[in-house]
Amino acid sequence: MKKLHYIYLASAWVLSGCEGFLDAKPEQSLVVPHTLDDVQALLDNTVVFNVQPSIPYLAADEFEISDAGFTALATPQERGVYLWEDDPYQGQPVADWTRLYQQVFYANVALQTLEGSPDKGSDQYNHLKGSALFYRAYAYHQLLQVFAMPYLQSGDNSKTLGIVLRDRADINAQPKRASLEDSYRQLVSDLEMALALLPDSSVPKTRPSRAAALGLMSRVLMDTFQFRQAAESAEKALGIYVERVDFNTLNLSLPRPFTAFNGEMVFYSSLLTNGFMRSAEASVDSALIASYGPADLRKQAYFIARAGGKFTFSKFLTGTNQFFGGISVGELYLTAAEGFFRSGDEEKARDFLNRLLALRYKTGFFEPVVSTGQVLLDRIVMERRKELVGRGLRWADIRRLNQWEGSKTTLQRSVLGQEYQLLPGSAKYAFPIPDEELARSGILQNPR
Amino acid sequence: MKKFLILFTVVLYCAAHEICGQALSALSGVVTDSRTGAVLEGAFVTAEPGRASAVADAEGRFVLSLPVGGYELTVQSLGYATLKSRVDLPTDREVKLSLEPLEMGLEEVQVLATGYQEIPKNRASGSFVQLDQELVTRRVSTGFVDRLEDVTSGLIINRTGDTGRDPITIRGRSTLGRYSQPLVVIDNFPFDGSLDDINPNDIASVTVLRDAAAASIWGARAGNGVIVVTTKSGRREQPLQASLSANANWIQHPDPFLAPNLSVSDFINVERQLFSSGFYNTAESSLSNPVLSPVVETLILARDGVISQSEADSQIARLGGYDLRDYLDRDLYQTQLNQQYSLGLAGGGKHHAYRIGLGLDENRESRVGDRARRVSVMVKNDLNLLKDRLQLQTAIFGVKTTGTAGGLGPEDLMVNSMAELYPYSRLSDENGNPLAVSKDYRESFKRQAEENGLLDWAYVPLGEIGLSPEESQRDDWRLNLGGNYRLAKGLKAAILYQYWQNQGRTETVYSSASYFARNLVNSYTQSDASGRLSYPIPKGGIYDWMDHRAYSHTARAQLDYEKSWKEDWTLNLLGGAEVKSHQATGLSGRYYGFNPELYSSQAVDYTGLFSQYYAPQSSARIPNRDGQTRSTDRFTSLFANGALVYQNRYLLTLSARKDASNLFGVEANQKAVPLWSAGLGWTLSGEDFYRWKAMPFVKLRLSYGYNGNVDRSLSAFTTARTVTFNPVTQIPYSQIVNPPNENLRWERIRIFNAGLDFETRSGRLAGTFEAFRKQGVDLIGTTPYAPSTGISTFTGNNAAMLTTGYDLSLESQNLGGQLSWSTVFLLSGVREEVTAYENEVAVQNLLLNGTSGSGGTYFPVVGKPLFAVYSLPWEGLNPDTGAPVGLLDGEPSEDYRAIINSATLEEIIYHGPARPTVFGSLRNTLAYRGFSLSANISYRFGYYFRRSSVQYETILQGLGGHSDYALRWQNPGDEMSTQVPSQPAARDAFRDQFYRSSSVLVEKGDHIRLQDIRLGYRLPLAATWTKSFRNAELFLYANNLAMLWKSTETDWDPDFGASRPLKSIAVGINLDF
Repeated sequence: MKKLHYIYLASAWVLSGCEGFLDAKPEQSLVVPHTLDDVQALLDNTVVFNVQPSIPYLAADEFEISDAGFTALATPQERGVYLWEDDPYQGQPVADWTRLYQQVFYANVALQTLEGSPDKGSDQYNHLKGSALFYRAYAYHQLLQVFAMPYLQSGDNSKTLGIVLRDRADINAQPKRASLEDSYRQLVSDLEMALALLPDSSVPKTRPSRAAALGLMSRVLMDTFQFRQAAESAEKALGIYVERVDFNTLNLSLPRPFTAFNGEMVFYSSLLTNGFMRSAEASVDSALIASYGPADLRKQAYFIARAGGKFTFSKFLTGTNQFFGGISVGELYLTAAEGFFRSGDEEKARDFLNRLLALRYKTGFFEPVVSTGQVLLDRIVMERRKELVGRGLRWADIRRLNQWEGSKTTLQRSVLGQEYQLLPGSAKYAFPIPDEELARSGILQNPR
Repeated sequence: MKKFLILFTVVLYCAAHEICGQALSALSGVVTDSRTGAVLEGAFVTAEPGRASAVADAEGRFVLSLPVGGYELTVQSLGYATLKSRVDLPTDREVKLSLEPLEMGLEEVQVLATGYQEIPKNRASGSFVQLDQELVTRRVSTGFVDRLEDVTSGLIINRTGDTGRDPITIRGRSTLGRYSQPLVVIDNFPFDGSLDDINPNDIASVTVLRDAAAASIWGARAGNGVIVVTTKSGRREQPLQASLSANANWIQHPDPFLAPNLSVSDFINVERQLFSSGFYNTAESSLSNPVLSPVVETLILARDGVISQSEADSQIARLGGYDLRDYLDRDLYQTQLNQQYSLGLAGGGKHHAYRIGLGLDENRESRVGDRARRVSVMVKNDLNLLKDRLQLQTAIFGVKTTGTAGGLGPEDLMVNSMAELYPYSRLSDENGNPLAVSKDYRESFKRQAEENGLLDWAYVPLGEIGLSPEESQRDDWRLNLGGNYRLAKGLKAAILYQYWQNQGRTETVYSSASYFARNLVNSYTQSDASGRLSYPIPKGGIYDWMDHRAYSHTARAQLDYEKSWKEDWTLNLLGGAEVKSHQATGLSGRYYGFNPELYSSQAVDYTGLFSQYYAPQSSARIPNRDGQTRSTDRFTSLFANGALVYQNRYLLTLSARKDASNLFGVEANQKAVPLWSAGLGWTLSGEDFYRWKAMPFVKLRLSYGYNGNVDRSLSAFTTARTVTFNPVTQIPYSQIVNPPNENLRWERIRIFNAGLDFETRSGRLAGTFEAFRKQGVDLIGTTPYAPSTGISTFTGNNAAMLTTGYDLSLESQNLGGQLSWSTVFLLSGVREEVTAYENEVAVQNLLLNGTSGSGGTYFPVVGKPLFAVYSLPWEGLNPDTGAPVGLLDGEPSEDYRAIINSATLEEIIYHGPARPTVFGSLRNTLAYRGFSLSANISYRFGYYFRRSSVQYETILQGLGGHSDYALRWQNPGDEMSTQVPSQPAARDAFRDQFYRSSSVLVEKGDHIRLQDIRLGYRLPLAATWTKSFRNAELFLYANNLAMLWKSTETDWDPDFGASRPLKSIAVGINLDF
């Protein structure tokens, strides 16, 4: 029996002796994120980040689809969103919601990992923290465009439902929807922190930079009717990001005139895609197509002509087959132009507009805009539509423009012999929260 | 079962002898107790060869009528050592046979292997099932798992409920996680390889451990039961003996007509309807030239006036005359033929024993062009030294498996990535010449491309056979070394070591002529403004490969101690430590422009974007198949086991084990889990007050304890996986695979088992009845989470399950003598219930997933089995429209979306479990002279299944569908004769979903099958040419014979759906020299 004890002792010693034996990774590709490089790898996940909703693309007035094309749409969501139905997803999962909150979760994991970092204050630490804050703000902003009502220029935004704000990667926390006012406040505070931490520029353009953060800030400020600050923010971004692309230098006959990460792009983000967006039966709104003048290079740079005078949107700024939705130089120019105009600086507004258009019209055929007042504003708004087509930005613009008497738009559809319309101020400007979210977290649904 | 083992032993030991002529001679004898001289009523006498048997009467006498010749008699009686004796017939004297009473107890020592020790059956308190060699070899199959079915009490091969992850269940399922399979132990060590690499002919016995007392020695891996396999060994002091077996098994070829597919004429009619509604306009005008079916192309030509309408109609009528299934049946399937050969050589000298086993399996699979082969070798050597104090064992097992998959099945015949080939596709002409069919892109586009200089883009299915065979090979080696040394009386020390390695490669060389290679080259072909072509993917073949390498080291040190006191007390102790390290590495890749002549390939640009020839506006990167994986599993364990026996009547067992593993990111103290068990046994029949003579053996057993289970994919910390290929930036990134979970624990299964073993006098009826209760606690389950948390599902310890049940096995010897008849009856009942689950499952998930889950994601409901069938109430068809009617708030409704979304657990119908709750088999064996006939009837009761039916979602997209379409409601009045909904005007996913989830499609699964029949004939060893054999047997074996009864009146097979288990018939021969 004594021997037995000895052997037990010996084996216990052997087992405790190989302490490191059980520390081997079960799977070599796994990591518990703790270093700055680990955080960078998380933030480099472009499958999660750098993606944004396609609902604005389908819901706005830029594209239409034939009856045959409509019937062939595979998912109820495409049809339901296109027709602004009360129940557009028919109970199916909605990536537009899920993916954005995945971004929030990843950003929070990154921020929490950084909290424990011994390298606080290093450049890399600052850039990473700024990036995570930027990504969270970008996600919040996208969510607000789709799942909350427009921010009112005149009215109380503290009673309107905003979005669910999550500042920790705690999957068991279950916050309710914040108010619209608080949602925007949180987003602005994230962005301001990010601005102080981010580098001026980043490579590749999927990574946030200060120019990108200023661009996002200008979007937020436009949403909240702070035009002067929006314009200044865009102007500042254009000061940091100095690359410009003259469309005259592009070979517009190519199926892909833009190269990946080209100079026009400040920050890369692509839209989720669906069958509607790729359908050969979908075409650009005919009125919009008609508004491109003969010298306007954008018509050829963005679209291909189809039989029957239709145009298909198929040349994207991404340079790939992904739909661009990120921040571009063109957007910054037009935000600056509109912002300066609305805050009373017509001259600066006209100057920004002309500087952009010079890059978009055939050399020698461009006549600088000289108009003033409403005519100038209308031109700025029109150029914004033409420049930023198919990026999901039009939806936010309609929500904003609907708040001035003169620029209200009623959206119309005619499908299978039936007419549909979306009136300005309709509750349908906020899309419903998906069923699975309501069932599991019990947050409030948008009124229909 | 015991008798078979003994018989087998007899066969091995006895020398060949002659039996002459056909004349019968009577052999009479008397059986007595050698000590007391008392006659032994009920003793069982068997004569070999011929297996004639008889039972001694009340005077201990028996009579056998046998052909003249020499015989070996085997006499068995409970509580006595088996006696073997030789007689020569004819003889006129009465044979006197006296049996030695056994010292040890009533039963002869029969051992059960646990992988750590061999326990004499009388010292077992736990639940064991043993299959001897005869049972293992009864079935004909390439693999070993098939041979457990219907002969192992409590074990079932699952045919419903996530069968891919969960093929075998022992006594019900007690985990929600993905690790639901029993642990397989071969020759004392857990087996890391593929079960297909085990040659069933090398197996001596299989023991299944079903409860805590039996299995807790395996600790954290025993939660799902343990299957212990022991391979054959040689015997000491035995001259060389050889056994040869060979068999050929013909398996009927699959019947493509059983698939419930839309008929050709219906398919064409739907295409016509869709065409007239403009459905194909999108595809027709698409820039990416997607394929259109021959019917649609014909309709386009007619619409555009290229051909006349009547011409189009006649072309379509001609297409309607073809049926793809004819070609599948004739050209792509064949009768499967599996051949199996094995040779065993065994023997031993004074100090050593050896066995050499060789096996060859050669299978021609059911698809023309598919083959598989397995070659196995084993060499075992046991050496006894130092006057038997030291025993050394060495064994090497090697298996080489090769396979070719060059054939085509329905899943290969695709028109694009989504849809199967059109049902009227014509694969060959009248003369059998292969024909091209539409695939991927429009024919007009392909013609144009070829004119522009691209490679031939035609797809000729029959021409593809053998052009891109997938060749796989796998080498599996096991080296076992063991030594044990007797330190003192009763004390033994043992060291065991196993090295295992498995290396495999799967490669597919797509020849340059294959459609796969041509299509890829063409898709990436770039054309510049002048039409000059360049080839980012070089012309030539494509070579895909995947390498897999794994090895493990396992070492164990163990002490065994045995002591007896005053004949009354016996103590057995066993304790030791084990350490294991297992590593698996996988690599994969692809070579482009592969030239098999030069064995060379060409580099490609994986980073650039290339516009696709069929869709110039879209671009893609060249598919990169480079991949690397490595996983490491490490375990350390301490274990101890003890048994105390008093007077062979009372038994107490204790067992404990502590496991630790390299679970990722778990704090060291949580890595380890202690598991234990205790058992009691009481041989009631050994008590003085026990007087029931008809039942001389009765034993009661009780056991209680814990087994464990672990989901090694989880971690307490946030874990991320590195993904090397990023399509946007080319920068590697990481992906969160596991959100943090500080409360992660190992799963534990608490098992209570009560057993009763009994045997009547002379062993006429023997049986075991056991009742068990398994409680799974801290079970790991996956729950859907609110998307705003950032995760869609969360996996953690959030569930508990309770499984109760019983297992009955009865063996009876119904007739002895010339004609013997024995019966084995197995009956198992199992009732599973989820007893706790932290979250509430959405009712929609229960309805959508026919059996509440698949792919490792399940939807447990408290109070119900994990796999269950639920449905929505069915109110028939609307007599005016043929639309299905359901219930909404108790009222008939056609608002399918509301019906589905508002359904609550209380409102939906719970039919019952999706897996059998009562199952078993009845096996009868008849023997007459050299013939034996054994038939197994299997049955499964107490469960439900859902049959499939028409879904208009696919039909209305021209993708085909279910044959029930033909039975659909079409005119008012049809609702009297059909329950299949009418075709809706537009696609309506909810209408489809309602019908799919409705009670009208649920059927009871109960059924009884005639599973198999085996007919054997032992050659009389008198014939001169058989002189040199000790045994020669010819046999016929037929499997999957018939459905004897089923509850459902539909054509469906409860376990195989629309298809049927494939019938097979085998012939074989077993020879022993």
